[in-house]
Amino acid sequence: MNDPQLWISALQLGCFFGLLALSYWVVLSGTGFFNFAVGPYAMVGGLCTSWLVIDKEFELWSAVVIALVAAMALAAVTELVVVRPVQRRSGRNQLPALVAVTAVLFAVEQLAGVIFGYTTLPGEELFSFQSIQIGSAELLPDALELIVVTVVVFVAMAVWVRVTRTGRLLRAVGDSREAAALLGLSVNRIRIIAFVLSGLLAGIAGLLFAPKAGVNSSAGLQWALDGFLALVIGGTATVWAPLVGGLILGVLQVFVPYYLGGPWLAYSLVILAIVFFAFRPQGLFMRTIRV
Amino acid sequence: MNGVNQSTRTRHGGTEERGDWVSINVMGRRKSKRVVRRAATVAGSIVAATALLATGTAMVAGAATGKTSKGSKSPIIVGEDWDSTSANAAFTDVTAKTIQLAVNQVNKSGGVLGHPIKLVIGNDESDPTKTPAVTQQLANEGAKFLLYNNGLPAPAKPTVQKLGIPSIGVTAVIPTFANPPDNTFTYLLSSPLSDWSQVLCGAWKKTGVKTVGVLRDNSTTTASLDNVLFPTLKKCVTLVDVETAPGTASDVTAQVARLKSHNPDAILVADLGGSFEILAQETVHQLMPTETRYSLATIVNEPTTWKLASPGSLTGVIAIGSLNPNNPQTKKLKSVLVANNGSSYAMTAFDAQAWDTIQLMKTAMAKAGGGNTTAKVNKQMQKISSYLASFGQPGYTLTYSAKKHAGANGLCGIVLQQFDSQNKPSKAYAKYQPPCKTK
Repeated sequence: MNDPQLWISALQLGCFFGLLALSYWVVLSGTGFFNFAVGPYAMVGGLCTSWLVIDKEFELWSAVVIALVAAMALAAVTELVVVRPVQRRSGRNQLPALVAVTAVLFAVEQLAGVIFGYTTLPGEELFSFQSIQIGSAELLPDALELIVVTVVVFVAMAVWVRVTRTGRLLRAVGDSREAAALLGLSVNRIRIIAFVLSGLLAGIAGLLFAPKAGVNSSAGLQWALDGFLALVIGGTATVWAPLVGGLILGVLQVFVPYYLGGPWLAYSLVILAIVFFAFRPQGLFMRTIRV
Repeated sequence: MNGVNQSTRTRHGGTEERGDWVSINVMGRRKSKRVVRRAATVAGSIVAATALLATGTAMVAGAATGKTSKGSKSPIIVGEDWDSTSANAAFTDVTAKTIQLAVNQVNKSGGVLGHPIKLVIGNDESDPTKTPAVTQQLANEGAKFLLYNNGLPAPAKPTVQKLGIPSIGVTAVIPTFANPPDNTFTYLLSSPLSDWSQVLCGAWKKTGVKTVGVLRDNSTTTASLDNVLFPTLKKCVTLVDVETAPGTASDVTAQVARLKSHNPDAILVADLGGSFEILAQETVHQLMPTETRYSLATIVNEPTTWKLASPGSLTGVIAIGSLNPNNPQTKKLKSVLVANNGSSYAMTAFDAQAWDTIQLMKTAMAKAGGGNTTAKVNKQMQKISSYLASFGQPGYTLTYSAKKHAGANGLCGIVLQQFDSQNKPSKAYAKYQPPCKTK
């Protein structure tokens, strides 16, 4: 564990997983719903940017804006066209909406393949600068960008949730939709904000992670599972919990293969998931209420 | 979310439970079982949706457009199993494009004895469980010849044998497809893997490589490669470590760090190509910058993949390729490709193999008096001898017979290519090339 390059990789992966988990967290906090389509939103954020820049010769920042808007629009469509109508028709039952959102996940992947192509595209680096040497390790620009943006995003989210009215309403509506409605709060508005914000966060995550190994239309499922596992580990009690879960998952993704070999990664993740589901379903951070 | 929308019910022994994702400690109770149930539900949903999708995409994509000649004779249907949607699309797209080009050229020049060729397309996503169904579907669409443009055509063999339709694994390298059993109608163009290991051993012997570390993806296709390659490679070098990672991995730092700890003379990356190959090569380049790197992957034939690599990160990588710019047949094909795709077109061995596949098929059909009698076409396939290939070293030929269904004649189909600082395999590896008699 004394190789700094391994820690840099773990940190980079952890930040990515943390952002994905945060994307889950926002929808879960605002609607009480697991939105498994965050993986495809992230894929769209990364793939759409690369496609616009490489194939359509867009200027980078225009492409970034369009891709993030696309991810947010996709999230809004998920809520307005899929989740909300399905929940309404099923008496707020979660299962039909979960199945529908899972179908959305695959549908977006297929659609992305048709639009952007099925081959992997290189991710776009937002800023160009020399990599930083840290001892024997090298911190590449894309890793540094992801780490810095992750810190900024989490701090901003923590402030937003705690300080702003919309942020507080987000959790109020998530805790009890009916109670919030009785109090006259705009439940539907809060829900759509949660989804759009989720799309933005996932889009940023995909955009910043794409330079590491490229991005293709089938990346969404794996990313959805990574983010979900990070949320399972971290829990939902605080806005920082997804980041902690992501970082732990990142460390496991690097050090389990390093010490035990590649095949052990899959085994260890399954064991970890079972352990958390069975013994710590609320994740590491548990919300407590004083009575 | 722990509110009135949550169901409240009585369970065993009258214990009241109200579960939630976040277990809230209210009046000393922790309610978490529902989370487990919900997780199971979610997992079930994903499995169900995956199954639905898999079923959907297994369906044949439908007929592709193919320019036909102006003649009034009925078309000869040729089925192409083109995996255009999995990770293999990185190389199958190139192959498919040139297959279509070659078919168009054949049709423009009058087709096969006046009969135009019409392509119909299927897509097994390189999923062995779908390959037989796609094969059957192509046959149902009237295919009289089958082309496998996917990662692993071997699962189609029993179905092909039953249908009796001549079939070519266009870019396949694993000899299973052309070897018994069930190989009456199956053929290969590429040099077999046994040749690859001979060439690698030759290069390593020449350059003094005695220890090799392997990094590979965990796909079934790559595992199949290993089963054929590794026993031979172990005879000429010591494989100090074999590291695996998922083909969808985003990071292989740990695997490369483990390889580094063994201090091998060279690293061999074996995978399906695409983003995994780039990730692997970049990580080796980052952690072991002076290491000699070899590639078993199809990266040398994937121009779109080269763009994924950061500048200079592929410099020096030695890859098993099949193109020698001095081969006259290669030059001839390149001029056709450039005329159709533009002067900047980067020709690959997959272009050459796709092109040669259609020429071989046309030859067999023409000699059989037409393409619609599959038994006759198959017989003529087995009579093709000394066909000058568009790939390999100058003078390289393909020959088939009743017992020889892999066309390669010797090691000359392989060219070791080396990447330059522009991340392009622009030159032949100067230190070693397989011994080859020119014709």
